Amino acid sequence: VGPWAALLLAVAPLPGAREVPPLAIASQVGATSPMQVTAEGIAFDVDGWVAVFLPLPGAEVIQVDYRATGNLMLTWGSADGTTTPSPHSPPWHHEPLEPGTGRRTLELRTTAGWAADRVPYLFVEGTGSFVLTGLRARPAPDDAAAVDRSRDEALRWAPIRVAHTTINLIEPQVWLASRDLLVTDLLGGIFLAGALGGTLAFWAWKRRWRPAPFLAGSAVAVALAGNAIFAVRAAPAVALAPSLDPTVRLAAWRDFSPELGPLAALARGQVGPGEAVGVLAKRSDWFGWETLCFHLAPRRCVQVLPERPEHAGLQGVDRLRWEQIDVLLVFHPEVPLPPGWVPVAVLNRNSFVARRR
Amino acid sequence: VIYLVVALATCASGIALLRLVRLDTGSVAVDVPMGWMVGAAWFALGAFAARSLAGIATGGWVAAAILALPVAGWAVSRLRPSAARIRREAPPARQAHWLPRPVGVFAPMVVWILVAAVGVTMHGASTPTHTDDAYRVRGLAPVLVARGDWTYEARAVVAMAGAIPAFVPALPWVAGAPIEPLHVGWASVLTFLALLGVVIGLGAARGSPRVGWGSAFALTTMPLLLYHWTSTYSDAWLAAYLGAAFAFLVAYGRWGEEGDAGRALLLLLGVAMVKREGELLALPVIMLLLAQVAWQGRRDGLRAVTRLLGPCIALPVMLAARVATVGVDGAFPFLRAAADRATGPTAATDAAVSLAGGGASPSPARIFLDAMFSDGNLGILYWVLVASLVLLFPRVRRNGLAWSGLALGVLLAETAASALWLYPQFTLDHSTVHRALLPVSAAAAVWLAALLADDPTVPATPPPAEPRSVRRARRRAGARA
Repeated sequence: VGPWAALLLAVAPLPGAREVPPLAIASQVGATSPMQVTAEGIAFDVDGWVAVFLPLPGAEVIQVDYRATGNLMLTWGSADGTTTPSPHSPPWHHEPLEPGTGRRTLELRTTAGWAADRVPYLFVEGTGSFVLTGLRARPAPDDAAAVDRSRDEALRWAPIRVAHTTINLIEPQVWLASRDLLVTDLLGGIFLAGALGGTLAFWAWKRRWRPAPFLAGSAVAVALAGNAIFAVRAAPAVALAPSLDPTVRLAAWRDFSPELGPLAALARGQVGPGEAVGVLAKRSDWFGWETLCFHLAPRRCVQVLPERPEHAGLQGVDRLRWEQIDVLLVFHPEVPLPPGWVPVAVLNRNSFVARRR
Repeated sequence: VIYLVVALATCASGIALLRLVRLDTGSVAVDVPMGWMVGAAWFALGAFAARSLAGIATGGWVAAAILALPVAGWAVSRLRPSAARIRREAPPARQAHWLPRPVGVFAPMVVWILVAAVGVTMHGASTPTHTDDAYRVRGLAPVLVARGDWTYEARAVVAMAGAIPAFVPALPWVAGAPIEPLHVGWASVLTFLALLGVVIGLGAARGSPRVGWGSAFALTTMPLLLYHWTSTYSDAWLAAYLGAAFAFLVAYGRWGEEGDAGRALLLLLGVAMVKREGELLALPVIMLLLAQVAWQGRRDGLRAVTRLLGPCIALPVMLAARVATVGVDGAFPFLRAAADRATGPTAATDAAVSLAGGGASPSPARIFLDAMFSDGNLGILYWVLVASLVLLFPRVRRNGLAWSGLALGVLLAETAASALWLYPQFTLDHSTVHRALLPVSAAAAVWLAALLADDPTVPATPPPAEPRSVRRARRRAGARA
């Protein structure tokens, strides 16, 4: 039910939005990679990532129609034009894009640092192509108080965005962002009012000091309210469709990267349990090689750094020399595939499994 | 199938161990989930000690032998019933009572507990491990155990994870199932369910279902803890063992049954087998428990303490195994960090202090308090705890919660010392302060439920029936007579 509800919400018409034909704004669109303006829309070749800044200052929600190929993930946010945005910073707003045509409604008010004068950006990562075929935008209200109210409402029920830092803390839930009022502070205040108020009222009425029932009753009521808010916010992120086949689950897992889960699943079908694996990826991408090595266990697996005589795996437990490596997992490498190696199973041009010729 | 068999075998081993040391409760609802927790701790201790002290790799037969040992011991012990055993172990009979009242209040709480349990189970069983710490330590350690790696690097990972998080998830793999990283979190999810089973079952068995269901409700109202159950992080393991131990600590304070002290002790020994700081959390509570036993036992107090010291042998064995694994320096990094910190600020703390002094960030103390009260990661637990402590203070003594409350205070003080003094940099960057609070918060949730929901002025229902093992022994002794 959850995924279907999310899908229906995503494709539902956006009330109050105005149509913005992509071709009409193409000349004002800023992008980090070359773009092509076609009859269909604004097209990008995604080779790693591409950031697209839309000339829609003041938009609070936008709706994008797209056609995608390959393995892509869409991250969105807003920028002020003077600093480089950090798309993966919490709360990280992101969704994998299925190949084919689709529509996404993108809430900007809940993204980090949103303000009515900022412009929205799309950050598409992975490997494939992305064509922006349609665009609608709902502008923020004109007066500041209405903007605050609008943002307060959006943040109050904003879904929890699971990201790399969620294991350390879940982003504090705000009730009134404009007044820095957090849900827990509000609930705590209500709890205290209920517990103390009830206790004192009972004392005034019966002249008996019985705080326990009021403490307990108030605590349960407030905790249930907090739980309900948490459940509503957490529901979109909860996986409720387990599969008994781990490889199927891994192939469908694109919560943090559009390619790592499918590549790991692909590799598990290609690499024998006794074979040694090297991962050739960007040096700075710790998440990529660690994810691949972990999900390929129990196979020996290392991060390949070409200049090293010996390559190390997770925590340096696995150590392999170049000649000991049987299979290469290539994931957005900085260097070309070494001579003598050929792809044997390909997810896309940046993500594949290679073996010695 | 292997996963199921292994879970049942671990559970059976734990139940046999409980019966062997005469600490089964006689309630299936308590003994089964506790059997999982105790069996897991027993296996972890045995496998870790065998590997590091005797050099015996954790293979299928070794695992089977470790799990079978308590079963064999219990079987042998059944052949020799003794009158002394019957005298010691016969608890006053009480009737299990499952339905908390008022139903109107507890029904939505029960619904929430079920929702949380289903959500954690489904999400935890479906989501691949995806955190850096899990890749590098918590999820990797069981893989290394199952693979039989015992290089220094592998040993360091295992020691860092702790015996339980390293060996227990690996059990199905050493028993013959293919090593599957996606299933590394299943043991953690099962332990979460076991914790709920222990607290609910114990409340029911003691005729205080409100305490049991209240504990489970309090435990499931902490969003970050729920999320952690679905990950492979060890804070969830710590929270499980500590929470279950506190269920028996408060029961011991309330009812004074020596068996509850023993059960709490077993679970605290489990706490000591998680991460490298588990024993730092467990030891002060164990010391307080022994002091409580000595105090409450009065003339028989020292004898009771002596009886409890037997299982404590697990602690030096575990520490010896860890020292053998990574050496003294690697075994106790927190003590070394504390010693370094005591002799002067470290570079990291200097940097943290300068960052805080710059006005860019609130102080560590403010962040710590926000983590407890405002951020919502722990729900409203600490609001209710503080208010209840103030308004219900006389009940602390009346409910027998003074000693366990003192233990809770010590745990909280330890957590605060770590966050504010030892590692303020991790508080300032929000990287550990919230999850460091999870174990003590689980204990606090159970303690709070006992404070709020248990009213000793209300006549308790009769105690539960005596354990089946005792009933059998009594029958045999009667037959022989």
